[in-house]
Amino acid sequence: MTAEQPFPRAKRGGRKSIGGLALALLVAAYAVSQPQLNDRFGWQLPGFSSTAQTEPSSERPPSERPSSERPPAVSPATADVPSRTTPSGAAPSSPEPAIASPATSNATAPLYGLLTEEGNERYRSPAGLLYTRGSQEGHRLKHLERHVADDPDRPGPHGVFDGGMPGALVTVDAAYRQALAGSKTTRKDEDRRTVYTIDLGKRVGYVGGSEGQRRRNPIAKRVRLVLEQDRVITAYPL
Amino acid sequence: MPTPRHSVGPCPSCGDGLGGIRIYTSPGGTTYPLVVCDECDAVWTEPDLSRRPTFPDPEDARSPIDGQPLWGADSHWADLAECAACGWLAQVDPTLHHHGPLPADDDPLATPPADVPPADVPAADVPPADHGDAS
Ligand SMILES: [Zn+2]
Repeated sequence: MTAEQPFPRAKRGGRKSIGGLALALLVAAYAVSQPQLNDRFGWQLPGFSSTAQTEPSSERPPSERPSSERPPAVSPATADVPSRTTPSGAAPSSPEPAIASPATSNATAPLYGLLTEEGNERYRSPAGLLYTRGSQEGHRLKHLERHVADDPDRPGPHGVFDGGMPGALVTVDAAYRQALAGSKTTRKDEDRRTVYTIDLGKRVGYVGGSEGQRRRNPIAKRVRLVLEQDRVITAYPL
Repeated sequence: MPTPRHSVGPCPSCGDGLGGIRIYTSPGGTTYPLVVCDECDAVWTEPDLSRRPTFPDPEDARSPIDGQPLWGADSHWADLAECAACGWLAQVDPTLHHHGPLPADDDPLATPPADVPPADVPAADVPPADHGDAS
């Protein structure tokens, strides 16, 4: 089999070597310019290597997926006893404390890769927020975990963060920084509490719950953040 | 169960929380209701969300009535009969009913409970119920 066979209309004979050379040059030129054309014009010209294929979105971390994707089809958290998760996804081995350190990590490893433990089950975020014991779930992180999955049977709206717990923590931190800067933020103070509503200007999750389901799960660009000083009471998208 | 079965309205403090009716059993065996937000722990001692709530200690939330843990084992979300027994049935918002495992179970828009005592029974006389959903 010759190099010309993929191109059956190419003439053979005296012009064979000239034609082959021209084709080789064309192929080389295409191979060089194809990525640049794709980048510049947004085309999807096929390449010569299988590694150039687009990675399926389902294999990318949720936080890197396009914001236009539909809400993830995640089952609601267990109703009676919310399951405890760890960064490694390993099931916890004991009922208390509410937030367990993953068995596979050392004591200094940040929880979810972000939170620094300060003792007594207190965890500090990079932006300075504090997650402590409390809430119906036993720990504010466990409560936040309710907002990384939909609960379609819940009356009213139920904000759901994109990106699982790491995505939620990053978004809450971004919202807190923006609130401190006073940008696109409303603030309500009530006793010791501060309730921020921060418009992050991009999708951070979607509205679930029965109301969200009725509204076909609209995207959420805002975050409601309830604090007592730097202590998180709750946070959710809306 | 993390979601209240019966609520008097959305929480005016945090927005998306539910002001759920929760029944507490005191050490002496008497019971009383509170309205508690399942999202931000705001507490009302009356089923009137226009009143100012109290905000318990965020790390050690306790009942303003007897100091028992707000989310302890001696409390649970009220069922419809308990809402009626404590005299708060009229304040229940039926559109915020959270169905249990059975779709029509305890729905205020369905048949009202047959064993509902008169609404003027003092809250402290409501018999305790074992629902096993304390959280
Ligand atoms: Zn609330």
